[in-house]
Amino acid sequence: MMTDDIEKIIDDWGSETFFKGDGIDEEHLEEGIAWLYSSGLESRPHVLILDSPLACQIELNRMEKKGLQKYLSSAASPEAWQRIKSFMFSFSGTEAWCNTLPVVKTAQSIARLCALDRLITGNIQDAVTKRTIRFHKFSDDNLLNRFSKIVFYDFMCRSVLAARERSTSRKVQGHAGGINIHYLKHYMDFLRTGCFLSLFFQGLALISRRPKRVRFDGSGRLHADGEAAIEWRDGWKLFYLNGVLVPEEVAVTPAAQLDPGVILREGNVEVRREIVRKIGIERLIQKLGGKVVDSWKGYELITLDIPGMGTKPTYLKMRNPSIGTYHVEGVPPRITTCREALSWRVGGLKWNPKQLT
Amino acid sequence: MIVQGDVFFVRIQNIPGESKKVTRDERGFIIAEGEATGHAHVIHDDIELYEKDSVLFIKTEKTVEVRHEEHHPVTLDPGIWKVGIVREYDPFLEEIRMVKD
Repeated sequence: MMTDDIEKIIDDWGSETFFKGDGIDEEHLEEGIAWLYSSGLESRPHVLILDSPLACQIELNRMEKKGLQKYLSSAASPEAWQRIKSFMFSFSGTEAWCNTLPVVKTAQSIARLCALDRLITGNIQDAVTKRTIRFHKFSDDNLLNRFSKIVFYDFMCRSVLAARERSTSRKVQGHAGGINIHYLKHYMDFLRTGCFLSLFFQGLALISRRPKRVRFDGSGRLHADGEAAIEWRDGWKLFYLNGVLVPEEVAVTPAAQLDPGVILREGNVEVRREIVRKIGIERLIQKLGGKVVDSWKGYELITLDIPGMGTKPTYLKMRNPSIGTYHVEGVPPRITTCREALSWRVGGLKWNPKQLT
Repeated sequence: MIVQGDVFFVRIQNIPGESKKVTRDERGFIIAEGEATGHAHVIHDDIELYEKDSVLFIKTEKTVEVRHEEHHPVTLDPGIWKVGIVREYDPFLEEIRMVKD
């Protein structure tokens, strides 16, 4: 098992999470949950499959309103969950664990998937909180949550099994004995049934389906201009441009129809950047009434007054002398003249070109 | 200084030590290439192109032309030239980056 293998495993779990659609193998899912609970000495829970993470959160809030707070708060069953974990994951320090760690750490795409994992779970939490309902933390080690752990377990499982196949010596088999392969495989089979996120309580397990559709750009960032980038069966959607969660209006409205004033209402700098990218800075300046603060030899220094921004975004407007088109480039807001801006563009050199095309 | 769009050329005296030679590809010597458009600043004539710390240096014994799809050509006289890339500021991210058209 080498670095190439880990990349395949990462691809496999990425595909499992985002490209398998929203189907669920209910029979095996319930079996898997019953097995998990029995490992924690808990009785088989009632399993509720819901169409999205939001639907899970709404259901829990509804249960709270019906006076089931005690049931939910006491039912998190941390002791049981701890028992499950210690039973399954008590391999820290084994040779297999030590061999696996550096391989997973150096895998190129794991960082991207972990970042994606953190982004989506964080965005789900924000979206739930915005609806002024209480957010319940999803249980640990789900398909989306803790991506790196799942890849780690899978790689370690396969490494140990491959070592077993290569050697019949007692030594290798003894090392394998430090890891409960049966449990890990069982757990991964459970994840492959279609569970996206879960919330485990005593007597109740809430499961969210995977998204119906997920869209990425060529760089692996969540991205869909004109539609949702993540869409669940119940119609809940998240909108992303170039990996940034944006309001629906920004994502779905065609650039030419998007009101530049939307940037004035947006407080997040990354979302603002995506709005600028979509609308185009030229149109933004034109629509928002940029103020020309200096002019020199056809150049214009323009500032924008955007409420809530500590500084005024400043741009140098210039003409391409070869083809006659105009464009603008940002310069630091401390700059107050075109000549300063031109010098800053070329690293502080004096602006006196002998040829300019 | 000679400026062609987002690329500028400044005459210097010597190629910095430990610079590595850059070879020509099928389009010529690529001085800078746009990420979004695929347009490139290219020299087709024979030159010596060097790179150190991501900065390019041109050594030419004759006058050569730099071409780009959206800019008129500029000429570099014999000598050694340092290649600079124009920078811009993103006020929304509060960061400086190189312009790549």
